[in-house]
Amino acid sequence: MITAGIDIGSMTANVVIMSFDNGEDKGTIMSDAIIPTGADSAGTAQKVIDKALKRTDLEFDDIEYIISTGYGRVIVPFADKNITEISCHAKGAHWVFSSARTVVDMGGQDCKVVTCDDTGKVTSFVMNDKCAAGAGRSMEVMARLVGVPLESVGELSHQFVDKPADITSTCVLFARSEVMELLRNGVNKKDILAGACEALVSRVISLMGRSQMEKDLIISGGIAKNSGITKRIEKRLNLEAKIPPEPQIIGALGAAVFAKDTFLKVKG
Amino acid sequence: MFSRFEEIIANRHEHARQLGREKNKKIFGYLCSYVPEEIIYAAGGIPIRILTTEESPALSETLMQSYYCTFSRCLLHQGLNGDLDYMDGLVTAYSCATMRLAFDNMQRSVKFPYSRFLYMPGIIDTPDAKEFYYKELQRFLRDMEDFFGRSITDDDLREAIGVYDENRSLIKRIFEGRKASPPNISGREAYLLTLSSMLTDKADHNKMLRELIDELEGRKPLPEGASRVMLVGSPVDNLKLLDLIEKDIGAWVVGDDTCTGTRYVYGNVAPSDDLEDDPLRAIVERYMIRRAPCPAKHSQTRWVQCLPCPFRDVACFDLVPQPRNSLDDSISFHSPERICRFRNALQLGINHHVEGVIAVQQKFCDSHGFDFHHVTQAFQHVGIPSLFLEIDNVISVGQIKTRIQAFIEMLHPVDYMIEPEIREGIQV
Repeated sequence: MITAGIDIGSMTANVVIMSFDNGEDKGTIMSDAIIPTGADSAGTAQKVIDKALKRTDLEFDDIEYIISTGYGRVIVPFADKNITEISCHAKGAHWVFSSARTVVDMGGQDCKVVTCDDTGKVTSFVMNDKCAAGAGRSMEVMARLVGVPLESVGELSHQFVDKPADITSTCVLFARSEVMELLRNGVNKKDILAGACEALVSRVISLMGRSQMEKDLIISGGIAKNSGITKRIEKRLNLEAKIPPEPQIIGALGAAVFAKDTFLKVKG
Repeated sequence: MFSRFEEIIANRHEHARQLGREKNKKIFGYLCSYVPEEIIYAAGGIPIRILTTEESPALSETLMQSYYCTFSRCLLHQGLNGDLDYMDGLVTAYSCATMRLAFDNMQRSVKFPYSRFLYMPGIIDTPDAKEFYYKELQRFLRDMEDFFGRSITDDDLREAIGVYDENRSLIKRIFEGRKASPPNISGREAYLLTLSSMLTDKADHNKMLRELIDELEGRKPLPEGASRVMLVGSPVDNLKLLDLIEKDIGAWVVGDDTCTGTRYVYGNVAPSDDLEDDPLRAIVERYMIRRAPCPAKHSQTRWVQCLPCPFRDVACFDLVPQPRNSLDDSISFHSPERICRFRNALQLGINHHVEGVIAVQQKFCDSHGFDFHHVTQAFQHVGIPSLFLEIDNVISVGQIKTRIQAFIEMLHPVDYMIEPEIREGIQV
């Protein structure tokens, strides 16, 4: 049985294609793909699934059931059903690490903490509800402002010279002007990046404080690739977080797993 | 079946204006469910609650900062926009400081022929508080006599009480059917009833309700199989929220504890020992003690009066988790002594077989913000999970939908989620 999960996020669109021998099978990932979302969500959905299919010898019609998730989940024309990214992240993280009980997903424009039981079913969740603070977009803004590639933010943030700079504004726009002030005052870029990571982590930790967190902790979403964030979360919580090999596809992966369950139910 | 209720809400100002013209009656706007409408009605006026619209409250910006709830700013905006110019009076009772501010600004900026702020105590269940409010209402009654140029007799009051009690009883009778699975009416329809009741002459509304009860007899049952949720918290008067939950996501709202919904019809004035001798005292009793309170009100005697409460151990004090079926289902819904909001909400949740609670919070509402933790804890301890949801006068569908949908997915294994066919059926 071939299923697919498609996650149309605010920044990237991700697809996972899976195959299952039977209903009991845990399944294997056949292919995955990530592309920027852009303005045309429906077109992006087609593009990203085509990209994933190209890496296999499958045709689109070979996929028996497709579940969409993410902010754009309702505008995927070929999806059989949509499920929220909250349920999908728990399911996906649980598929990768069966010991997963808390998933912190840090995406482009929101951040959520989801707790689940030993089957990957959601038991509670909290989301950042004010603005982009605590989300990937804020990291992008900071990286561009100090003029370093996004990928190197994590590494540089650990090499601070003096001490992490204080960045107190929650609003990304206000934080941006705070950083410009710091740059004018000659504060080292690495200190600023360390400060930006500290600030983001503080926000995530306080969000986690509002949830009923349990071990093991999984970090997913684009920001899980930033060690400046993940290492700091681990340090603050004094635990080791598990990070999936490709943290950006966890939502799509969960959707593909749900697709198997739903397909079996629909089929009879 | 519900279109006449829908029409009143959609054309509320036009409807009220016409009502005043046709019946040659004075229209009184009010801001809060604590206003004893019976007195205005007895005087010969028609009280109409001012509710929010989806318009941006732009005109309120200079008088009220954006960190006050949009509910209050929306009311002020309508006043400043001239939408309320047809009203003969404006009345509110003290609930929270924000509504007082909205009232003050309306009183100052919009020239109503009559306006009055009823000073209702914050602590509502002491003998002194009752006496104080009784005197305040006596003054209000005299005001009304002066304004209308006629005396208001005890019989006038008793007649108004009769009309209002009947309205509350009829709505409660219909709401009883929400305990069933599937419920007799959707949550949207339930709100249509309470909201339209606030926006028209109660005697007319009673007639409409009696007709509706007959029509509901022969109604095809609503689709089965949807999750059952309850709304608890700040005023909900934007039906889009109900549409989102019921039509888009597919869950039934089978109960609520909000002042625009069930809380508006909790507790009648009758039966009361005072009704015969002093109906005004009976009115005080209803507004102070018998209706479920708003979190803007405090209770002085709580610790003593809670001792016999069946929910004391599970909800308020020791916080010992209890299976929900261990709670006695037979406790009377309207207890003669003071109504506790928690107990009432829990009881409603249990009696209506609620699977999850959506704690609705008007952005920046202090009163409900303070309350939220305790309410959700109380539900948690009888095994009912809850979702905290911030809303505005404009329902921003994206994030809210994700939250509610994820919450419904959490209540049921995803493969039990309601299928689109059932959702189609929900659009009745």
